[in-house]
Amino acid sequence: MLGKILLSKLVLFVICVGAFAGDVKLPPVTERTLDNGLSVVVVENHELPIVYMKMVIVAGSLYDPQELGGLASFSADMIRKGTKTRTAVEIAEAIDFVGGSLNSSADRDAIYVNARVLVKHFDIALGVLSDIVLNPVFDEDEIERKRKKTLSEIIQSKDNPSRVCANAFNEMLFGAHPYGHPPIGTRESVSAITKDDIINFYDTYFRPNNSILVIAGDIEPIDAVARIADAFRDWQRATIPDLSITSPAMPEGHEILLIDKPDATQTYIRFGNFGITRDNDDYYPFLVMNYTLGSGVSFVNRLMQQVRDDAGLTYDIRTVNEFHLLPGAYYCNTFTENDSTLKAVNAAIGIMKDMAENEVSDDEFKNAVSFWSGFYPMMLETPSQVANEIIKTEVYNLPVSYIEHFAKNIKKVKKKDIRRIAKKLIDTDNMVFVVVSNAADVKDDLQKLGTVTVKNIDEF
Amino acid sequence: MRIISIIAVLLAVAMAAQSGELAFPVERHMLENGMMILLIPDYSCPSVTIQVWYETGSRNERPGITGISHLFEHLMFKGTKEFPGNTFDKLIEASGGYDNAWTWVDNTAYYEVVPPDKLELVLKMEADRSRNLTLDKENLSSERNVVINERLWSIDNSPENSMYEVLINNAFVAHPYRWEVIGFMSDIRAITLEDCLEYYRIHYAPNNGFLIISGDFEPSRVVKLVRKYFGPLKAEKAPPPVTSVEPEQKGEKKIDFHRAAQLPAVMTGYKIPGGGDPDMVPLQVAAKVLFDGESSRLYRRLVYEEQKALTVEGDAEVHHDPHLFYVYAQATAGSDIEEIKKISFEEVDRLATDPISDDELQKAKNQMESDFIMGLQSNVGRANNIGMFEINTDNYSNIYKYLDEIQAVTAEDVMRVAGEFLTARKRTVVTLWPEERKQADAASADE
Repeated sequence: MLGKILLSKLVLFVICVGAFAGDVKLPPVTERTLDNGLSVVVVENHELPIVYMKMVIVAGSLYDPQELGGLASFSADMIRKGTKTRTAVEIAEAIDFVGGSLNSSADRDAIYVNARVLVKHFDIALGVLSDIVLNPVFDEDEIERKRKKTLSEIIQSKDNPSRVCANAFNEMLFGAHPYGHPPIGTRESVSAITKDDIINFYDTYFRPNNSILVIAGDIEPIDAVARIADAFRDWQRATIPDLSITSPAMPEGHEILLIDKPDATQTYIRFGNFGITRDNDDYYPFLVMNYTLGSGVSFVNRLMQQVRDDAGLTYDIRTVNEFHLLPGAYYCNTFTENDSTLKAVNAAIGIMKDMAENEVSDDEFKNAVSFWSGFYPMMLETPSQVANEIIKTEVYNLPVSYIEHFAKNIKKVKKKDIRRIAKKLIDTDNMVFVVVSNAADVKDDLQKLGTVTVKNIDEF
Repeated sequence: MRIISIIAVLLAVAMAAQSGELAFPVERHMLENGMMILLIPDYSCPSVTIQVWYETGSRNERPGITGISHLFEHLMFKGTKEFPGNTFDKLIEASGGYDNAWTWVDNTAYYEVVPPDKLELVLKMEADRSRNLTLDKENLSSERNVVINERLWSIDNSPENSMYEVLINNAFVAHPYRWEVIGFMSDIRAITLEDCLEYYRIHYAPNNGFLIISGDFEPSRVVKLVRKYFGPLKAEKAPPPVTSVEPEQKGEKKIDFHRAAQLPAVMTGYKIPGGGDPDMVPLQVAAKVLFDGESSRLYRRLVYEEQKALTVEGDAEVHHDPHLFYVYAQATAGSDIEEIKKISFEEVDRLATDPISDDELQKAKNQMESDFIMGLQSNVGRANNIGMFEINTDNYSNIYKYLDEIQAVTAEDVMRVAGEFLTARKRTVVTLWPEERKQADAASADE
């Protein structure tokens, strides 16, 4: 119903960004805010008969209550497990039958409910998606099914040393801060979640004024918005409570945790401290700096070049900033054979230190700027990719012009900005280290970096 | 894979697939030296994908040098006299593009995604490294270590992937599909520079490869450029054909696999035909019915209703030569793996005795059609699909028949192929029994 649409926040814009040397014309984007506060964005692309629907509820694991880690993730999965009019099986069947996909999950900051169908099945997908968002019943049997599955997943995750390493690193760095626990939760917290907790969480955060729905693909925006407005017309807005979160403390010196996995023939390593958020003034200098140092998008960065290609110490090494609503971690991640653990860590620390202390070369600088100005627009070619980028601007409170001005902003970065952000982020004297390995092989070496605490992998 | 990239490689949207008809034309050219060129122009986005496919993979190896195809893929990034060191990657990335490569059982493929004005540079560099690679002991030694780390990470430290290795090690007897693409650790350590030089000469000749270019370019100009750079390359004697034929399996093989892991699991492989066989499409339908989506038979029964399995997955693996229809299920904590096995066998057997319903058949067809169309959204997706059809069926144009083949499948077809291939006699069953952690496990034993 068009009459129900609040037109004051009507934005219609067409984005053209420079791709490579020329311009890429991105599809037209229409944004409306419904009168219940639901933000609706339509990205038109008529080249294939496909439509993507992406609903975001800003309620990720950041919003998990203390002691109930995993509640957001649990709730996200539960909405697909039965509504007032459909069973879990009927929900799955409806989407599977038309060859589509439907999933719902939580990350650190938000819950994502995604559907993808051929456009002729748009109404079916919208019907199911709105039903699971508006009318979940959180049946007790389904809650127990989900709990059993999640507990098994937590047990199984111990087979993945990278994941054990990442979880322990976050726990050490963030402590009681909500980024300290895995989004899926822990054995204790998942065992403690009750139906009332889920209902409470749902009632608090599943609100139109806390949500964004992006539709991308072969659809007409006016018609799509009308159908969406109709599907979500009974959804009631509510005040979303503010979170009160204490910032975690910076690590002091080298805090080293060695997780003993006696059968390990390979060491998994993660070390670092805190990073920046996406709205940081130094976001663009950061991208240029990290591309040069160790970004996963590059094969020619310093870490890959020196630690992998020249020394053959690993298959993969990268530096990662976890962009969240609140500052996430900035860390170096790699794996190597047990006996080369210290060698790999020292090589990486040396390269990071150099980045913080010295200016990058003209060549490196030029290549990094040129990479990002071409690469970013290239990653915005499908309607789904454009939709995801728009979701980022909405969730992380970035201006809409973020996408449009990306290449321009990258080109504004100066060499001195790179050094400033490197200096700010890289503090090799104060870092958390988590190492998963056979302790007998690596402990003596690691002690050269600082005091080592050893725990058995069974404690995780 | 040279590396597992975190970036989803999904690019331009430009194909129309309506009522079973694929609307993207492929232009084919042959060079005098035997290299085939496939051009897929599309102007919806100013980028171009260049893929060089060599028809060599782990299928073309022999015991003693297993893994050489993949190790060699790594060496292809070590530079030439004209483009030394990492110049190749540097030039691609500085243009805002990206490049990578992947080795599979039947092929090794190199690809770049770049702005149109860099197409000529890429052709020049790809032609150059196909014949003038700098191969020396230093390069081999450092990449060997990288690959050893890759194997430890991707196979030895993964219960699921090491199970798959055990499955193919035991399911195949004569055919080179019996080893993993990455090769045995002892072979990775033993491969010599001479092995690499010989492998390079035979398998990277123009007559053993084909080129796919997809995206924003002018075909007639590009044909000239390809002729300029790849035309002068000399054809070599064709590589030795793979003559080993897997003998018929005449009984169930049961393997107990003990290693450090949290939960028991079972992986079964049934012998099925190669990619060009008409029975492959009904077998793919059978896989959809069993595994695709939360409403699929095995997910619903094992994961949802009985909650015995944490995950269940499977597929009819399409390769050039006969391969496997695999079924994998991992137990939930406390579940009996023997019961999981029993249920998965029951569900597979039922396909051969009871016809699937009209709704299930239609659902499977919808899923296959939808997956296929989604896979053709981008320049990269179209090129990948064309390349895989060429490799698996010896003729890329079979891609145009695929949607019709899906539509033609009947419930009787599914019953027939299940009865013929998905039988106890033709299956290999690997059961993973978690064991207490100890110093030596499969990974170190292999070294």
